[in-house]
Amino acid sequence: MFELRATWAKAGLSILAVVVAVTVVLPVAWVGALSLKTGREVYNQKFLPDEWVPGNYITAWQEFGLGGYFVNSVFVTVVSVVLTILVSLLAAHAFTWLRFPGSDVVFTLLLLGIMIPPAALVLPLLIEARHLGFYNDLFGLSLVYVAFGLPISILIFRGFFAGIPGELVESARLDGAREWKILFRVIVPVARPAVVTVTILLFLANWNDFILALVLMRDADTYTLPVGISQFIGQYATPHELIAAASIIGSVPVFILYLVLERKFQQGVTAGALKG
Amino acid sequence: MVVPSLAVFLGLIAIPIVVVGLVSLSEWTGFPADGIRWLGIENYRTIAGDDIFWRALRNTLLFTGLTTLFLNVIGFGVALLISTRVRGTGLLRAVIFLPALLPSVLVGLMWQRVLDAFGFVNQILQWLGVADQPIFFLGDEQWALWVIIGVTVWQFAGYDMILYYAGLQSVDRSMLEAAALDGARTPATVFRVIIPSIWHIVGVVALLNIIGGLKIFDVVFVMTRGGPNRSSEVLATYMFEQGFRFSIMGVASAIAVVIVVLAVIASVARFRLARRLV
Repeated sequence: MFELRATWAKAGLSILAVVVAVTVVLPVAWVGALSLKTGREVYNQKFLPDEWVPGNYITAWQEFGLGGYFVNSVFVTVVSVVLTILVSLLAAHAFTWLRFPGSDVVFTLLLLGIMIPPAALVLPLLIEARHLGFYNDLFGLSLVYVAFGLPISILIFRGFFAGIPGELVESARLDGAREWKILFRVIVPVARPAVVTVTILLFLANWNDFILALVLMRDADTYTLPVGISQFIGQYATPHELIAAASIIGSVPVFILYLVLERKFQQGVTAGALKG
Repeated sequence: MVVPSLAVFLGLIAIPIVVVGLVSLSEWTGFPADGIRWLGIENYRTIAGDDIFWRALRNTLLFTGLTTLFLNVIGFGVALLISTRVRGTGLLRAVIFLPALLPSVLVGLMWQRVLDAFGFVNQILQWLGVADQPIFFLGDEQWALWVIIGVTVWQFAGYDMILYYAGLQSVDRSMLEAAALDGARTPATVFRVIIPSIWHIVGVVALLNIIGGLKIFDVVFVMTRGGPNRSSEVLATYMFEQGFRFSIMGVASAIAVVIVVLAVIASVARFRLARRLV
């Protein structure tokens, strides 16, 4: 973008870049070091532990019951992401190629959902969950995630479908294929990049969600990771090094996926923000 | 093929919006067995006369305004820095985006440790000799909201950076070359050429930050619960307390309606701007 000729300017900017990067990493690194200390060393002034205790991770995993939360988080995330993608692919297909009277009105109505922050609807959702019986139910929580994920997914799929030549659909129809077959055999293979983008966006939103799971789940055996881990903060007796270990454990899945799919994450988040 | 989407949307978004509006006009504990009593706009009168509500609204707006400002300045600055592609920027690009992907609850938990009396920040302050007593960042009315703002900026600066970086790729190369030929200095190029040509993106990114700011909950809930003494109370935490700790569903729903109205105003503005983008 710029042609920097002066060496001192380049050097200065390099130093600035490293300083900013260190500012971002250092707090997390300090928590990482904290998670490996003994209970006594937590209060000392050294950055690195004198005595390394990797066992803190096993203790945190067992004492906080992280295994159960982990399974719950994986369940609601996988179920909600898969359902959202299926349901929104169907809708986007209809909005693009099966336009019916009033389809624009329905499309606009669905898009209005993008404006509504989940936090503002937790009260009526709890009331509805108690009345209809999906309170404290992991599948019920997944369906709520589907509702909040639909608008952005439909919007992205529809935008992508609009760029696919109509002849593909027409010729499949002439061959006598049914609409859902056209969608899954013809359209989806072409629309792969859009599916990846939507998967990443939904994964982040649902894996990281706190307030919906906090309100809609009552028992410890239905908590997701963020809710489960947050339950230990209020208890001042909880050892600091174990809280640190638990926060690191909770961050690892996102961290690994990001390492593997760095550019895809960046593209996905950009598309979600600028197109949504 | 639209029916499943429509059913889920109506059942779990549209109906809840209607319900929250209706409940905000009533007195109710939220339990099916308990009776509901209609009050009209009484709950809105209650919050209009409630100092804590105004404090939460003021804090929410202050938080939203300041995080939006800092996030945009830092996000744009870092995007510019990375686009120079000098050494070290590859590392920066990889790490600065990561916090934005982490669950806010865990970010809050980590910073709670970093900022406590024995935490990293106090260690550094004492090492530098700035403070001889540890500062209780989260237990001090003067600090709490600023800490929440700082942590949020730390977490989401990379998010704004990615958006600005994408925007910078669309800046017309020939204009940059022309500016360079005219002997324009870097600051002049930034302010006269780059910022004007991505101005529409600034609008969209700022509105995204505003929308995110208005619904702030996770970090506050985890780090301070709105305290000490309501100094970091925001609309969503106050709503949560009224609804779930005290079961005053009517008042809580009235606060929720205020959040929805603010979010819709910001979203409509964003849609208008985004449409001009295309």
